[in-house]
Amino acid sequence: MRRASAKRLHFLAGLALSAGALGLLLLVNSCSTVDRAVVVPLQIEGATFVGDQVCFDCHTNISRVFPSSPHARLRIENAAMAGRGGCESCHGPASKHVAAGGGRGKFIINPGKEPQACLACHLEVQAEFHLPQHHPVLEGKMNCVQCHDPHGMDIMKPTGLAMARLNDTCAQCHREQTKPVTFEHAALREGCTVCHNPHGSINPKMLTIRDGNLCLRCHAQVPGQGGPGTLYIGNVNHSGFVRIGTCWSAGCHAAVHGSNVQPFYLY
Amino acid sequence: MKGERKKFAAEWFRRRDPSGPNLALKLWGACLCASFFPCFPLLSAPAIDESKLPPPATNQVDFARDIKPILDASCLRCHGSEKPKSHFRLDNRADALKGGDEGTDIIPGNSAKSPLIHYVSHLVEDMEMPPLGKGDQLSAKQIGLLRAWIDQGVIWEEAPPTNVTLLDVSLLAGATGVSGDSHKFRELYWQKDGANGGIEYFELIDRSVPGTKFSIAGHALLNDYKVTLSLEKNEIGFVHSGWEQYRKYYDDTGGYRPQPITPTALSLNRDLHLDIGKAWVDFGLTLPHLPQLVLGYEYDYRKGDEAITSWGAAGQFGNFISIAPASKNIQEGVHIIKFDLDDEVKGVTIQERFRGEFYHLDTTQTNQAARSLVANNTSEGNRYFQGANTIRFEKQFNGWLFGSAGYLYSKLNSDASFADTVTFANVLSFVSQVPRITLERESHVVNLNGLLGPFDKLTISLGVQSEWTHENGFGSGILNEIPYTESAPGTLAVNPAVLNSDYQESTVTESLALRYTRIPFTVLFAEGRLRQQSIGQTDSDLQPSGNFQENPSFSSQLSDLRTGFTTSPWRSVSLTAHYRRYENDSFYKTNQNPQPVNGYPGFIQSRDLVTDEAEVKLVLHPCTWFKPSLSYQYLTTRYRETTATAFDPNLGIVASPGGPILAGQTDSRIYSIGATWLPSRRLFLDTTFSYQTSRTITENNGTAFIAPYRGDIYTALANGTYVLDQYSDLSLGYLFSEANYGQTDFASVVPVGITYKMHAAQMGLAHRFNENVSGKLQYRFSYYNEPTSGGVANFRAHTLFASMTFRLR
Repeated sequence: MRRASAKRLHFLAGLALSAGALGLLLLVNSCSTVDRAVVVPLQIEGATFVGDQVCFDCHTNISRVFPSSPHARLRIENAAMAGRGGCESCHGPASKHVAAGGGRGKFIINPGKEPQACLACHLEVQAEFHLPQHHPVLEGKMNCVQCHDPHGMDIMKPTGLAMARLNDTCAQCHREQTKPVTFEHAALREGCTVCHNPHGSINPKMLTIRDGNLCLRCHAQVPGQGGPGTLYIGNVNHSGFVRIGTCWSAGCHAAVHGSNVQPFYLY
Repeated sequence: MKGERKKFAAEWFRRRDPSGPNLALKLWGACLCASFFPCFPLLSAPAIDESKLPPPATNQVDFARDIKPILDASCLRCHGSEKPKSHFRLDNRADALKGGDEGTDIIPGNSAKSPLIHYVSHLVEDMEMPPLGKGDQLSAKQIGLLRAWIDQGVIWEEAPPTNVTLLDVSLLAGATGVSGDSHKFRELYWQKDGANGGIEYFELIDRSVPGTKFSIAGHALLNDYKVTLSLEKNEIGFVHSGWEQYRKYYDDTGGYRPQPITPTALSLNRDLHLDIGKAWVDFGLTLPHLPQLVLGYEYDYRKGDEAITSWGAAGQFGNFISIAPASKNIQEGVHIIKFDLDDEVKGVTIQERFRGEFYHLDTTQTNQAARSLVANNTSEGNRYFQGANTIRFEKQFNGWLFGSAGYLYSKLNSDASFADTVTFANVLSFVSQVPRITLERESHVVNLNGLLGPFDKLTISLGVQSEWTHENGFGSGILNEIPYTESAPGTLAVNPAVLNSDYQESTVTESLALRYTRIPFTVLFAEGRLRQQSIGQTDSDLQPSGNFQENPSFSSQLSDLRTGFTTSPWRSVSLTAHYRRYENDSFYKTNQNPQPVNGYPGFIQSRDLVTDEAEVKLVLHPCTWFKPSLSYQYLTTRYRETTATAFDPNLGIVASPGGPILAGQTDSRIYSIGATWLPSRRLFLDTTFSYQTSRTITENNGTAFIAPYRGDIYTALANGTYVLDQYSDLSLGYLFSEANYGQTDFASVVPVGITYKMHAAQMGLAHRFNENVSGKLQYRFSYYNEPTSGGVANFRAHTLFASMTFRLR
């Protein structure tokens, strides 16, 4: 125990010394003069805000549907805070993009490629993407707009003035879980997010809850034959089963997304 | 009078399309009207009074010095290479002389007759260039220069193209050393330990042929590949293709239960991973004045072994628990045929999408000793074809009404199979199989949406969507030797069975959102979404030992309401807040007799799910170098159930009174603070801290069978960049994550909760050697500690990577 404490103390002392040395180095270095400035993420060097109207000239299909978007809640005409006006709050100041005659990726931020543009506001989502289990957005293998439509009527796809269908977004990739089956699990009628957090979770399979509480929220714990102190779900006494594992990890309800052969998703 | 009629015509066209995407079309329309209705002489092409034109400049015009700056500043915004208005381009001589939808705009040697000069001189009403309100009018001197340029023959001394071919390549090499659970490291960091390297990034862009762009880009690292090829020809078409694949790693460790039942967490000692990828090719036609067409093919796949959470048993009879790790082999692929059409006819945007999917899936799940001495090897197969066609129309009817309508039809035909090999005490007990299950699904979805306003700063968006899904003759097959219940612990009955199910669903969703901006610097919003769903079902699994049969009907009423505001009254403050209530009431009925006859204790008659959510977000910008944001989110969900009464004939008592109970409740709070700092021109810092606390409790009116799932999650992020000198940058980063959702009732349930701490610190040095060569050196230390795995998943990792980036022109 004492050895562990000493080791921890040494580690912290080493860390403090390293940080101090680095700080001193930077302090000394800061005395030198440098012409260039640090590159700040999501800023476009030399560009200024032009206002939404300029964007509307070319991006008509997007701008005409945008007032129906959930993001339109944040768009303030003549906002006092610079860049709070709409398009440029996510895409960055557009003057250089306009001067270049537009074009994909020309002096403009594309949140589809740079998730930081979204995460700068969605702080809690940024934290979730750093949890152990997450979709690989920060790793660059996915992006926000694969699932979301930031300009349209519905924050989920399809894009434009249209409404999304439940679970359609997840089904684009997770066909195995959303394909039709003989015995469907009614939980899917609530949507995938009733059990999963798609941005990130501390649990395997990005589950919101890792133990039996996940299922028992809906499958009420009621006593059956034997009276109080028993746990009946369906027509089966589950009193002992919940001690074996969770509903799906105890070797029982393995086919939680639905089964082709078993009404209770045992296979 | 004449002026008023002319004004009305112009206004009419403007109202037809207030965004003014196609001014030329308006003029064309006006001319058309004039030609058909000679009684409107004012709408015919007006004569140009050339005397009002500014005189041409008298000097010899230099294109680069005198003309290009005018085009860049006032014209290319709309008449560049990207979606040129009226298909008129001013970025090269050939296209400029070719003209656009209006015909010839520039007549070399005759500026007085060139429509371009008339437009920039504002002599043609409704064709003023730059359009009114979209740029300053050119000065007389600038127009004079343009005139002289045209009179002198439209000399376009284009600078020799620079960077027609550009190649960026970044080469990477490095390694990661892990002490501890390397599989866990791979799962968390999406990369394999050991040596790694390759091409971190490459891109070749070739613009040597005017109007054509060819590019190839991608990366090639260990188990992570991507290559995209693109060939685009202005106003003709494109070919886009590519292939990408990455690997998802899984830890191979199962659950853990402290001694004396299990000494340690169990591992498979296998490298579990899935390769996820896709290959695609799209051919597109982008000819002007014709529909845009895309014909494409895509193949998506997932192949490999994934860890599953349906664990196997550890321990002996009477004392076994399922914490042994298990895996599933997946071979999944889908061939997708795509056809897209986009067109605009009389102001109606038409979008047509067809997708044909040929899907195949084969899985084998190995669940060793799932029930003590019983082991399952379950194989499933699925093949389906699904055709889905969507057509959508959008139209801006007038200045205040924008509408859309869509229709989706999809049909799916599937064949599935199932086989289960069961062993008892390592002896093959029996093989059960369902050679063929046929599944059919057909859906119709109709959608109607509108965006109205603004009416005195009020914008209304609304929509309605109806969906009918029929799964007729759905899932019928013959099950050989598949039981639907265990006859006794540790044994499986052997029974032939016949299954069948039908499913019919109809859903209607309505949506309404209001946005009100009359209050200065403020947006008020209120939104609601309602959904009504009804489902009729019949399920049966008929076996000699007993039949499962039910035909439940289901109906639900969902409401999702939200209201709030956003305001930014001062330059340094922006505040947004909302409250949301989500409620879904579900009702279940069955016309079957209770099973058993004395009651079905767990049968849910109705369920009411209610979520209340409140969120506040404050962004401050007190000074130019510091921008903090704070957010708070509170969320609570209550699950109320009504169950049937159950009578215990053996004890002669009511086992469960039935009626409404609060089955579960989840409460969570999330606090987040983020800040960006720019204390000097040389230093930038980005920091985020998030704290989440949540609790889920499930119970029967206060009596819980298992302990609540509760805990806290802390996440801290800090990233900084410091400019060391003219050519070098130093970057530092730190991540901390901690969760304490460990279970406390080891005696009653398997402790599947998790407690962990994770640290990652990284440092990088970037240096630019010259204009075309730069390098980067990066080091990262990672630490992971998970007490709830008994320490088996712990690791420390050191990662060092060096990269060199080259630019060739």
